[in-house]
Amino acid sequence: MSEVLLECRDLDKTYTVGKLRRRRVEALKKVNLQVRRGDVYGFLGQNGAGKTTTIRCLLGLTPVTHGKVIAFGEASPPPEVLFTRLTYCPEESNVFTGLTGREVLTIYGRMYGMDEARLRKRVDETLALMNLTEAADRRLSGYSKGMRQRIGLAQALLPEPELIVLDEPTRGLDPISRRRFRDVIEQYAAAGTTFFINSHTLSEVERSCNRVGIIDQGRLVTELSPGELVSENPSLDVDYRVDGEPLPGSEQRDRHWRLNVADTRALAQATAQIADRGGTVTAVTTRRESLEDYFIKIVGDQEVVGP
Amino acid sequence: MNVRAHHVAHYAWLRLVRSHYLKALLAASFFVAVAAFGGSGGSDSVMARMTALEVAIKASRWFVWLAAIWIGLSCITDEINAQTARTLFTKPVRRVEVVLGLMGGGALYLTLVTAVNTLLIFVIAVGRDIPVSLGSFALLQVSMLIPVFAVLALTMVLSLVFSKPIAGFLMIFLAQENVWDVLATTLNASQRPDWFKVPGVFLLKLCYLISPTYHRFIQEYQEFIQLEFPWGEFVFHTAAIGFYVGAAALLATFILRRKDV
Repeated sequence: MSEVLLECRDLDKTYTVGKLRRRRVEALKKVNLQVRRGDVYGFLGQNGAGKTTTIRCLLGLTPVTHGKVIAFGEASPPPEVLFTRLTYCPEESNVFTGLTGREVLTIYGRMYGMDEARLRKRVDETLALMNLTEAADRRLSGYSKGMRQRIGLAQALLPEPELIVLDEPTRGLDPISRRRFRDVIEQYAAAGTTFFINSHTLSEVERSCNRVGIIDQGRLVTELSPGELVSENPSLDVDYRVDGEPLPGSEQRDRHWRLNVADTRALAQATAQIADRGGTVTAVTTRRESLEDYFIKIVGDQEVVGP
Repeated sequence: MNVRAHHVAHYAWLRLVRSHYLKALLAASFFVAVAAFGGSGGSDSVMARMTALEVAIKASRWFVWLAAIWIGLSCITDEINAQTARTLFTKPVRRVEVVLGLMGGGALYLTLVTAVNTLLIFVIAVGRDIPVSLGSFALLQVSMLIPVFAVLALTMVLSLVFSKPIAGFLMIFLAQENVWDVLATTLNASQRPDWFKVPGVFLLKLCYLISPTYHRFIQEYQEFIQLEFPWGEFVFHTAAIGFYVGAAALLATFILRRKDV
């Protein structure tokens, strides 16, 4: 089993909210998770479920109420140790917009302790990778949202860390920028970089991640790999044509009906009933339960109120 | 041990240099420094010319104090409010280095403003035949920077403990003696029309009238540039301010460790 790079044990986080009538809000309740070397870990949850709070606790940006954060085998390492091996790309790339793209990368690269020759080379490489070479000497105030996001990812990729934490990396981006982000993540993941991606874009997590954790109302409710979804819940779609009454539970498609059945036994029964009604089966396909289906089943569509 | 505070200071410096508010403040301080000499050409009296010089110096001090308060209020709290702090605090830099770096960038900026103002005032003073020794004048300006750094550090801590408006109010309150000092000197000059006239004197007179301690300033107005530089005091104040700045940095670091950024 591969090495655990980032772990939290029984993580609790409680906020006090309100100026006059102060009340306590439990943002995280006994969260346990492990990010192993080579993982592309997708961290899913609704708005207010506790995703960003978990990240902030993991990175030491907010003190934890109870529990432990262990990074690279060390409990709550100081920033000068933690961030030499881990980098962070915040939501909406929060970088001072008075700097140029090149200045941002150069300043942050120096903070990472990179020597000047390597820094210059990496700045040029990451700018080219994120398709920002032409805009490198323009101030970020003149950048589009997508370009700022790309600068945020570029500064996280710059020192070639072991683990990169991304907080909602593709939020509000157009499809082409999203695709570019995904390609870069896949390229670095293939080279051995571990990712922890906080997102609620389920399709992207499904495509890019090999492990997924779902948090709901401050609790980590499940951890799985997207591949497990098929084997755990296989079902079959039966497409058929019939002149008379369709089978109960069928959905009408263009020129045929579709019935979802749980297993091969139910398929045999449905096929017999279709034949009895004078119909013909045109296709049988395995329905893969999508992460979205699973997420909604686990989390439901209730409104979550939280910090 | 890797020390990376200077990279944070470089970042803070760039932030300040590109701030439009500070550019406006800087331009205003240059304007006031020059304007203070506006009426001195009308009199041959040495006292009148020295008063013009004193007004210019004190007015420039006032602007540097305001800039220090502004920078102290904004350098950490703006980072936190704009969430750029998350990007900064997730670099391999100790919290105390982040605080010292931000403070260092601010101090560097204030030093630059003071240096440019000093040079400007000195050139005008020489042009007006005002007897000033550059060495003493420069040292006097450097000594002025010492409390400015303390104001910067204290404002930074207060803005972390309280909100920006409360910290700003407290600092203006604490710095009011300096402000009234400028006003009193200006008023003194304005009451001697044979010496020197200051633009906007009616507004300054109004400030003077509502000041509850105005007579104190009347007694103290005859404070001119000391050509003998007080080295003993300079060293003592430097040590004291070093202690306060260090204490402020540690306190700010302590607060930041417990604050959500």
